[in-house]
Parts: sequence; structure tokens; C-alpha cells
Amino acid sequence: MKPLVLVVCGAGTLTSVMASQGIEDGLKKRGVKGYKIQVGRLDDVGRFADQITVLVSSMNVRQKYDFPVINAVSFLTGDEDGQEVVIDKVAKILKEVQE
Amino acid sequence: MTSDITLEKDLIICHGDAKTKEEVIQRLSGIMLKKGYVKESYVNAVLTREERFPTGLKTGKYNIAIPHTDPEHVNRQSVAIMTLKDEAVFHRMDDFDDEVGVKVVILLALNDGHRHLEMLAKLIRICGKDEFVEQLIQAGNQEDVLAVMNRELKGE
Repeated sequence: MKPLVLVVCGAGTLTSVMASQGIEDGLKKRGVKGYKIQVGRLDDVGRFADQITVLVSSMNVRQKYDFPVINAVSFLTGDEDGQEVVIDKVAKILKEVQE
Repeated sequence: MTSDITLEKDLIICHGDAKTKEEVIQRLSGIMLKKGYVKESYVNAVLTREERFPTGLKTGKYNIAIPHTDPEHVNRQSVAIMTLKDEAVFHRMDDFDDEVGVKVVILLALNDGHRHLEMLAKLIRICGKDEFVEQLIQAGNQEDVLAVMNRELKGE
């Protein structure tokens, strides 16, 4: 099964989609392949818990999970350095599980 | 073929004197409701969602908030904007315990976030730029706000 990047926000319609597009573009530029990226709601996380490789959220995530959680508000605030940091982190995690 | 959401003069409040986030959301939702763009349930849905999933964004000198809610409360996609005389306090999207003083609120009525995503994403991105928000705050009336918005949206 391909590793799953789940990108979430409150409603799963706007900010998560903005973040996921940015992350997908960034991963492409870094040549990262062979993963699945999906958009959802923060409330969906429990349902996908056993499939998630890394969780990316535009919202603050209080709950503790076994997988890494990365904040992606930089994709909304236009903080480009912050966006690169997020993409680098996701890329690193994907490479580790793919090895 | 779908067209972009058109920004409307009537959905802009310039230098609003609202003091709280609730007041901002209520006033802007009221205009949307009167126009039939949202259902009666919209305003409470936005307020409730803002409590659970706040939308204040720390973007720089001014900060913005982008309240929105689920599609079921919306009849027609639209965007209402308030520039504020004094800052209204919103909780931060990326840190619920922290607050930001906001000078511009963009209330989004979305019925299919993916369809107009490009336009909305652009709107949020440009509102993160201090130079732009400064022009927006300085705009003296609805027409000026609209002109500043449209110029920036076309130009990006």
C-alpha cells in the first residue's frame, strides 16, 4: 500500500485543499513519487488512523497520534519559507517509509 | 463552464465599527441572507464552526480572518468583506489558544469549495500581503474596496 498523506482542515473544502495542492506541487518538484495524498476533515482523522503515514493540518491538532502531524497554515498566510519547511518534512517522512 | 465568484459592492462593509468577531459575522451574514445567498441557518453555523475551528490568520502587520462553514447552509457561493475601524479579535487557525487582532474579515459562503478554489485561494493569498491590506484599509468606500480587490485579483 502506498503511504498516505492526509491533509485536513475543519470543513475539508478550502484550506486543506489549498495546502494539499501546494504540497503536491512541492513534492513533484522534489521528485517524490509513489504516495497517496488525500483531503479531509479533522473529524475524519480517526477513521483513517491506521492508514495515515503523515497528517498535515491547517488547524491546530490537539490530539496525540502515532503518526507525525505537521502544521500547514503557511499555505494560507503566504509564508513561502514556511511552506518549503512543510514540504521538506513531508518529503523526508515519505522517503523514510519508502526505503 | 463555471464563472468566478463576482465580488459585489453590496457585500462590502467599509471601516465597519463592529467590535467582536460575532458582530462582524452577524452583520455580513445578514447581508448575504437578505440577498438570498445563504440560508437562515448559515449565521449560527458559521459562529459555531468558528468556535470549534477558528479562522484567524496571522499574516503580518494586519491579520485577516476567513470564517466559513459547510455547504448545506449556502444557496449561492459568495464572498462578503468587512474592513474594520478597530481590530476584532479572532482565535488563530493554527493555534486555538492564541488570538489575533484582525483588520479585514472575508466571510465565505461556499457550496462547492473545489469549484471556485482558485479564486478563493488567490483572495486569501493576496489578503496576506501587508501592502495590499493597507490599500484595502485605506479605501474610503465600497467602490474603492471593490476596485482595490479586483485590481489585485486580476494582477496576481
